Amino acid sequence: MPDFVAELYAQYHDSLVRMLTRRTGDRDRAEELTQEVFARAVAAPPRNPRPWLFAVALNLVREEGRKSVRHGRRLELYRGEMPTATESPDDEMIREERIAGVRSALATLSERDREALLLQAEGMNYDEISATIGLAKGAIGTTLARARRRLVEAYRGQEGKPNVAS
Amino acid sequence: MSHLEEGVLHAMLDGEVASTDLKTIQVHLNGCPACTAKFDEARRLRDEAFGMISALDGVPAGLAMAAASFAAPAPAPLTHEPSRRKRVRAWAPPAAWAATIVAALGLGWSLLADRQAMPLPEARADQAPAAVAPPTVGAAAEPADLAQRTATPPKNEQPRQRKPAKEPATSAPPPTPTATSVVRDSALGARRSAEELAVAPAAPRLEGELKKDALKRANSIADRRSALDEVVVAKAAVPSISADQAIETLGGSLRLIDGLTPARFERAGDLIRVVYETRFGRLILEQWRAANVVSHRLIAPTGAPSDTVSAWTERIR
Repeated sequence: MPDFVAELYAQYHDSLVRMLTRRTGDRDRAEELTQEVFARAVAAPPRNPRPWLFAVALNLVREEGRKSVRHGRRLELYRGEMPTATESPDDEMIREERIAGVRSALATLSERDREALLLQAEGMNYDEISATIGLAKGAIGTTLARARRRLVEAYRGQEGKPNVAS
Repeated sequence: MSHLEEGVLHAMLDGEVASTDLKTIQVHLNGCPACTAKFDEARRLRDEAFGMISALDGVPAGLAMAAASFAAPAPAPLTHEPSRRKRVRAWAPPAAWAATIVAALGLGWSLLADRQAMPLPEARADQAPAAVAPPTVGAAAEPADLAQRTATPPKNEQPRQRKPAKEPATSAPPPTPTATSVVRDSALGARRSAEELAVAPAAPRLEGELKKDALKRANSIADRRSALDEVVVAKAAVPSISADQAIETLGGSLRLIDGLTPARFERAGDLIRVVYETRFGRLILEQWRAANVVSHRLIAPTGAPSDTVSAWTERIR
């Protein structure tokens, strides 16, 4: 592996896997997609690596989504992951319910809103988000505001909780 | 000046407003209750959304969500006027005490209602006094903070830096309510806020009891989620620790911000928080270890200019 890719790998691997896991709900798939991202980085070294890597990763997810639809299968790949071995069945069930609820709420967002939200949660600043998803920097704040509101409202809607006041 | 757009408020919360524009926005916020309310709402949305996304992860999920309720960087959008800042600080500690009293009353009231006059377990009743001076809640924590600073001089901590930052950190995840905001929430009848405040400090030793109790009362899915939130918050009490303990928790690797002196170190489970006091409020560098990799995230004080946040981010070592 070239040095520069090794450096990128050390810097961004975990962040990419985390973002892709949040996006796809499948840790194994996230790992695979991350490997593919770095394979592409070897083939075409990016000049502005962080936005480039995340943009490629999100493109791969979108492409995979389209293939999945074509093949008539769902992209609901989420599998419950066990963070601790000591979790009781009650805790496990509650945690899974919460994750499923969040995932379901996230699915109600538009692709652009969802991606902006996930990238921001990954620590990207507005410049980087702009470069990654191709949205004007001046629109990122509004996009995130809308995405956050919709996410929270969708989640609360499932619970029968009152929605956020406008 | 017309009212501030929601996008601008979120950009401000995310540390994306340049210092040149920040003053104008702060001046407007100072004189506009409507925009101040929108700002609070935006902060709540941002914190909740971030907590939800973090919940999708295995390790820091609950901690990240609950972190929004403890030891927040003081939101400082309105305090560039020295006289106002002084006034706020002067009444903040009494407000924290008031928050505690209100919270304790709220807890007692809700428990009474929930359990239909069932007597409180003795250990839980003992918690209410414990909540009086939580080491990490708002201004009430300041004396403890000072003591901690004395106990862990920064000179001894700096050599503990192990490796350079490998990943640019975040801009502005969830700041958390100060004692002041807790008072407001309680006054508005936010029962959960009151419960969180009252339950948190003594939570670790009562975790089993809390889980059992909360789950017993949870009959619906929504109730169960609330019960989980309660337990997660209980788990996430953030006691101050020494630098050595922080390093040990992270398996030997602790990141710091070059040029800043940590005010203290906090731990909530596997989550380590390095807290800095800046002129914009509390700056927190959160770190956690998962799968032998230490990740971190910078929680900038609300209202810090984007260029300042970038400078902090670049100096994480």
